[in-house]
Amino acid sequence: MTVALTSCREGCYQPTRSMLGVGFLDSLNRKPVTVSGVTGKGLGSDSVLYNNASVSAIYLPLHTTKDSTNYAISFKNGESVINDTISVFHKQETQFVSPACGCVPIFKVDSFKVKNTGRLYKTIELYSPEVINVEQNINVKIYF
Amino acid sequence: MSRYIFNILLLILPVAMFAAQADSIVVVNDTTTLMADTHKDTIGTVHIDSVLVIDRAPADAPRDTFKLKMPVYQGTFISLDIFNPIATAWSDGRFEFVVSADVSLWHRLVPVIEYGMMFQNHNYDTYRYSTNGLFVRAGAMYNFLNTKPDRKYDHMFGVGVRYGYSNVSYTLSDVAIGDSYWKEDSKVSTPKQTANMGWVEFMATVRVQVYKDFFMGINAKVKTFAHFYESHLTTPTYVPGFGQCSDGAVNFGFEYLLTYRIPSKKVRQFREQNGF
Repeated sequence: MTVALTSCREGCYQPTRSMLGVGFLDSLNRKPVTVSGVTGKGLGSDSVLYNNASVSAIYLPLHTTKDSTNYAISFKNGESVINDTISVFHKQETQFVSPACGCVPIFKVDSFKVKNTGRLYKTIELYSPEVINVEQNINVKIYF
Repeated sequence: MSRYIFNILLLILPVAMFAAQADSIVVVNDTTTLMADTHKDTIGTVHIDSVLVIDRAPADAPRDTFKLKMPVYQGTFISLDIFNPIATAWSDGRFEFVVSADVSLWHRLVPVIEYGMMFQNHNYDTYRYSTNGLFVRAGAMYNFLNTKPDRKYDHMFGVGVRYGYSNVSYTLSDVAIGDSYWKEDSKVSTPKQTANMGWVEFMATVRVQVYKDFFMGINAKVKTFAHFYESHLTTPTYVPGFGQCSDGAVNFGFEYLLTYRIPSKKVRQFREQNGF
């Protein structure tokens, strides 16, 4: 299942979800790169967020009742699959958007941890710790 | 030596010729030339036929002495905006008002300071949001209209710029937060938060003298360059004096002002002296 990145209410024209944006970039020219065979899901949820997708960024929902969120992300590398677990530690606040849009949770990422087996990528960087209700906002950059 | 004698003769000659033909008297002082045509009677008495008085400025006087020197201070104007209190009375739980004081200098330059307050309450099933704060704006306007000292009315039309500052507090409570992916529902409240924000306003003003020291005016404003003094994860949605707050926000403002002028005694004396 893919979660809609934004949800609009009647008369509301702003995103009402704050998603952790993870962008994939080329380590040489630092430009976005499309990575194929990306699968991702939140640990503790039955729903898959991305299933063998070819994407240059993924957007992950954070827990609204906990201070950390874990994801299982896997990348296809030829015939083999590299499985990573990303743990994101965050604080939550609530932003009033407008009477039409109501309130939206926003987050500040304190730190993150990656447990990986094969390490397909070269480096990973916390680019912007503020996870706010802006579409296609990139918070974490993964360089391949 | 002969050169000096020649020059003196050149000076004496026209004077002597004028004296020989003179039948008029000319009296000159700094500001007036008085010319009198005369004739002598048979016994040698000089009679005045006519007198011509010519007012004039001394040749070395500066040109400014011709101009009327207007007092610099032209009065203090106290204004109350009636548009926003009425408009916000029917808005979504928001009330805002502003008073201002400005000083007219030469009836051209008008420094101004404004003070206002805002209160806002939103009560819905899924959240309660309250915010209140004050704002101060300071700047100046340049008036293009009726700048002559002998003007009949003190109408104004000007453009100006102001810097605004607001201190705002906001609180969110009983907010229902749900997440469809994690299947979570929660109710959160945030403690009272405070933010300090500044912005710049560009404006145009029309002010009409309605009766003696009573004026009515309209301000149209463009508000931009909003910036917070400190970094916050959350921001107030509506900032007093600025309006809707978001990244790169440009807001338009409108005010309908009732104004009373505290008149200047010097201006009154100046007008009485000069018959305006």
